[in-house]
Amino acid sequence: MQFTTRRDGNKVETAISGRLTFADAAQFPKFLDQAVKGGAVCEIDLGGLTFIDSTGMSLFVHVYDITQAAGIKVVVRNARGPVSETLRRASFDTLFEFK
Amino acid sequence: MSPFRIVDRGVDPQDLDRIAEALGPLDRGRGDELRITVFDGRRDDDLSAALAPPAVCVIDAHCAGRAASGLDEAFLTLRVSTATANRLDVADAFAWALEHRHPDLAGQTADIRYALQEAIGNAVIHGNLGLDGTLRGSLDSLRIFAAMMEERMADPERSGRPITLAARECPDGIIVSVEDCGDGFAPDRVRPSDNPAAGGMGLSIIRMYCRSVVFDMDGRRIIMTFARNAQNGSSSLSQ
Repeated sequence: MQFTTRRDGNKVETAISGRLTFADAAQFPKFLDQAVKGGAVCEIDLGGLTFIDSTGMSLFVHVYDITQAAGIKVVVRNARGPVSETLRRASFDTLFEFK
Repeated sequence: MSPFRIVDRGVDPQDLDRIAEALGPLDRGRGDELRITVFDGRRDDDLSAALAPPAVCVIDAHCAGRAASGLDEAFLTLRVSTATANRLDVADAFAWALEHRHPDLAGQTADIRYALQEAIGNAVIHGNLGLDGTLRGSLDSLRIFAAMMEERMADPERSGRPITLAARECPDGIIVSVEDCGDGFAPDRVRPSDNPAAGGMGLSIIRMYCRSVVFDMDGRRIIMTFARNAQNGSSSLSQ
């Protein structure tokens, strides 16, 4: 898992790339601290994400919990192929706006 | 004739000697040599190359202790350290290695990869690292989980514990097992949590992609059966 974050006014833009799996679990708090704190909108670009497993999906459960409590809107962009299918199969498209 | 032949993929001589010594008493009771490929999981990134035919048994020299013990008659065995399972995409490499040997499984490769990924994740996190998945349930406890994972992965005794994948043929498909060296668990007590961040999804996913799943060795080994003709638990995700 690699990620970048950029703050633009009230919006935080973040991009996750590579594989998002159990092996990345130790990085999750760092990601959540940087990407899902403050702002009114959090955009998560998954265009570079190639694979996600159940532990990877749990990161998005934390994203949902934090943003719901803070009133932050989440937009997921560019999820493709198996990543998109896996997230939609787990109904994350009912929790976040997918573009 | 020696019962085995070691293929060295750039391993330190001391590690190679340790593995050869452990193989010494191996007696398979067969005339053919067992081809054992040894690679260094700390440095070698090309697991697919190590698993390419005619490899039969592939051992990561980074595995601590008895890296070469308990090998059996699978048509493909891979033993990696916990650190290597965390570093490399083992599920993908093993699934493709199976397809190379059984082209009739081509339609099942994605299913096998997804199920293996979850089984290997469980072997690393819950098995060899002994981490409590429920700690991932809240952000505060996730921080504790993350710190414990880093600490245990830095412990050579933990990170060197082996995880063994083995594939055997069965009449209508293949059987793949994943074995760890943890404390085991009671599979019938595992239910998906009300909080999906806390875990429990992995076993549900495995059951979705396999025709059958059983555990033995007190929960330290999961045995998954994949049918040849899309008779598994669900349709495949596209690759």
